[in-house]
Amino acid sequence: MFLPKYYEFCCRVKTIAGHKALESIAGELDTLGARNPIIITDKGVSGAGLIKIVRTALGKKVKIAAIEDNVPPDSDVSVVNRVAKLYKSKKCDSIIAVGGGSVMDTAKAVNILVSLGGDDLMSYTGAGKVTEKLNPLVVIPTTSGTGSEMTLVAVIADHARKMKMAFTSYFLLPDLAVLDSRMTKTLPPFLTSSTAMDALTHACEAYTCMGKNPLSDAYAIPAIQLISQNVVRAVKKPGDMKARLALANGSALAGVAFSNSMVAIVHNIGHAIGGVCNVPHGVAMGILLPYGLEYNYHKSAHYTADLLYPLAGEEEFINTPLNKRPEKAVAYIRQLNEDLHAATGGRHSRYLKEVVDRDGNQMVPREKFDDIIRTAKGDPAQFYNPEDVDENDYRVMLECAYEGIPLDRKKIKKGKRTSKIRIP
Amino acid sequence: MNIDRYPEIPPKDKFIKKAYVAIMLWIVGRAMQAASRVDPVVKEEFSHLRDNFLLRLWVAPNGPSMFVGKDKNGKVKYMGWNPRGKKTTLDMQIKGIEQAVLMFTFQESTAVATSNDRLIVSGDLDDACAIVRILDIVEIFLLPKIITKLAVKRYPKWSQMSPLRKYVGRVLVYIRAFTV
Amino acid sequence: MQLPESYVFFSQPKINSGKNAMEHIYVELASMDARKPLVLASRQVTERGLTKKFIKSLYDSNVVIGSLYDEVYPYHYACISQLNDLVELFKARGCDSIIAIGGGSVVDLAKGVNIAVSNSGNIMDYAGTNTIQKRLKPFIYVSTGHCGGTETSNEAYIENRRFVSDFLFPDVIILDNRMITARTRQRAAEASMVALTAAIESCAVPYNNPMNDLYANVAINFIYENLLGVVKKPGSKTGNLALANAYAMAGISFSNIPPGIVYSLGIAIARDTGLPRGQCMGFLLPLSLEHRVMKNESIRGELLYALLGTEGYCRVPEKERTSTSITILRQFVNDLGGLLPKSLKEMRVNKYKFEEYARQASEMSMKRVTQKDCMQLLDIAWEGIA
Repeated sequence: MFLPKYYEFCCRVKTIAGHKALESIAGELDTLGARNPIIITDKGVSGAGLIKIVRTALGKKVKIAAIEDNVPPDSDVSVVNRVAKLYKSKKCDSIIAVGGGSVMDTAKAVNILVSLGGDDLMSYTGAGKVTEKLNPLVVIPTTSGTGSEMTLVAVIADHARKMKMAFTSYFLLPDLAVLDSRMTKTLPPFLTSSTAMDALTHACEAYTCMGKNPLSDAYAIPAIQLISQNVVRAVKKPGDMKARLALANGSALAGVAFSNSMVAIVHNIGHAIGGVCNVPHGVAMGILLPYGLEYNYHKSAHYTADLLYPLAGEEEFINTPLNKRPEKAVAYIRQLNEDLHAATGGRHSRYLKEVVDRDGNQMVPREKFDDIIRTAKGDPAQFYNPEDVDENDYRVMLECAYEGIPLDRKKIKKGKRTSKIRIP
Repeated sequence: MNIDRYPEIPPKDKFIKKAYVAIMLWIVGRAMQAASRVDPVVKEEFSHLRDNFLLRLWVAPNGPSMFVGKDKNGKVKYMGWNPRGKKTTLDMQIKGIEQAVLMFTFQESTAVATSNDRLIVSGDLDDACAIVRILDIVEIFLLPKIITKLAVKRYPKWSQMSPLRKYVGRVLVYIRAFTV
Repeated sequence: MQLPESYVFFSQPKINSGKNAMEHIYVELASMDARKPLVLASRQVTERGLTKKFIKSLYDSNVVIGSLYDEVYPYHYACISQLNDLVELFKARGCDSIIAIGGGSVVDLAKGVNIAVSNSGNIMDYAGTNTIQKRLKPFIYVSTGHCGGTETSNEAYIENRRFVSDFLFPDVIILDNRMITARTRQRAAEASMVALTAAIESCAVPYNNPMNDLYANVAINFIYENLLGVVKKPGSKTGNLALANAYAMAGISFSNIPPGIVYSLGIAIARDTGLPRGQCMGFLLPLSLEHRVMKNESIRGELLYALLGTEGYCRVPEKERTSTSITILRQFVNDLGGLLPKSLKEMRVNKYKFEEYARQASEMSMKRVTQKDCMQLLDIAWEGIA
């Protein structure tokens, strides 16, 4: 097992998973000393009737002091301030966040404001500015992808000032993450596939990039296993509770892995495509993941080779010779994209050309590549990549991902090979 | 129990290491200024930064620091070490003096230090990315290949950075850093 | 991969491992709003010159060591009079956090002090499971490569009473190359056996817990891959660091599951005979697995995965995985040669005390193991593994 010269690892979230995990929240709230929780969620979640399930599971003993169900998908400071005001006026003492990434980020930011006082979120931005235990925060993810339930980061936009505020502190980690299969059951197939690919990317990047450490590796492997074995099942049969629970777990495990090892080139380009073209994060991840792995072959092919086992199973793993494993692993991910494309009736995009918005317009036309590259150059995720990236490399990757052909490794610049496996 | 047997232990200073890092920071700062005049790529990178750009590269919690920023005319300048009266737009903090020594003796590259959580960056991340690229080029100018290879991820080949640009740049950066 | 119907997992510690890890202590303290720690160390640690290294690592930071108390002796249990002295010291100096350097009783003592200074009333009132209701002061554990099994876990032994609470986890575990230096071969072997037992038994429950298992797997793998190397070359830096990592993770995985048969028997025997805990765990471990196979209890094949890694695991057919892993473990303990005893007979344990050990073990494991099983295992262990 790989032991780096130096690493840090932290995962302070208590995790409860199961088909009936929600029922144990009441007891946990009691141990946390929480009496009047506020529920923060979004319209989609409450519309799908999930809040009702949560409230029933909480039982009669827990009194919900307030419900805020109007968190927009791109939450900002004004929302945080509004929720914090509600929290204070209803004299709440803890937060239950039900939803995806945006809801959880909002909940984390609200928790800073209500626990530490003040109404200026700005003074807490940056790394490690929050140095006190915050109020109890329970998160219930309803998408299995972002892994936000396990991360110590919250990003809140300030639309008025046109900037994004990032908060990192170990005290932003939720006290409790509840993974319940009922919460992701209603996620439509198309969203299931793209969020699962997001989680898969977290795990694969955590395993192959610079910040890897023994524990993030150990979290990544079962995460990949759970996702690769269950994603197609969950897409084909949304009511398959076992597959749902597996995906929720896979996403949480991947969340722990990447929050301790950081993500690299796939996210770097993915963030840029998301920022410039508004492509949903998971969609970009699914398309770009094979290219990121291919790009890093000469640095981390021996790690990519290890991925074949959790992806394709032991049979495939031992029947493939070592130097063929990296390519097999990447091919497997491409095939997974194909399978999901078929299973979602063509809604899961396999390459950039295929990504379209609601009206059928192409979202990532070639003309936008320049903008994407410029944005990508300003994204810090590139520094966690084992290989440097420059404009030309970005362009080659985007071109190949656009057409859906394997990365042309002759066209990219390569530093010194450090991987034991030689791939031309 | 006689509690005076177990006295308080205040931390001492590490003068020599601090002095070494301070000198290295001074050289890097001066070299950044010099490179911005000499090398077209560095000039280009700097030109994209905001007008009131001011970088502070320093060692926490009370180690040496270095300021590089744009002056009123938009020229890149090394602005000394004193934080008084300066408003930084980008703050790069090395977590401690030992970590800084690791970096400035090239035992650990910038990239490895970042992934090891030894570097904390606050401010505009766009600028931070540009600064890291500039630092890489400055290192290529300042140091012989054998050392720079440890510090940067990929050393440019001849086709990517012509020997002419590299060696002329190196001489000019050295002259400017230590004289003007 | 099979997922259980439900599981719960929690681990508080942040792990900082490797080169210059100690230099990060001041950052960790600052991130928890602390700046004046009380430092506890064992006598041995000072004698080996490690406290000096620790003090130096805090140079040039804003951290003032409130007091450095280094008169704790290993293999003693934490006693209440010493604890009260330390509480007084903590309060007199106005400390706001605790750092423990070393292992075993030092950490127990530190956890005890932490309970006492954060809560009111008599500390012994908090003995038992989950009686502590409040977050304690920041607590950092600096490993010196010692493993008693409880350092990184959520429990502490004070005056032989067991304290269990999730608040007893260290907040940060520091594994620094400089502190984890060469020890005698025997110490390394003993400590590894304790950790290996804790790790293997924490996944030796019929249902799996994916998060807990992965901590255990990392621990098992590190020990299996590095112990023999360290025994051959006790100065090996990477080997020792890997082992220290394994000990830390074993402690964490062990916290989420009540102790198993070998661990509790090992403690019971060690308490009575005064021998180090690791001595009998070494040979008891493979025997207990064989004993379980004999009783037709299943042992999950993942144990082999933990030992050999992916490649080796996949090459062994599914049916043979349990038996292979037991053979490997047996071989592993045998390879340690004369470092560890191989039977209870060799340890000169009195046979008439078996019943007492079995009773204590069953009690400690919260009835997870029965007295009958313990007796059977002890009888087998009398002859041991030859």
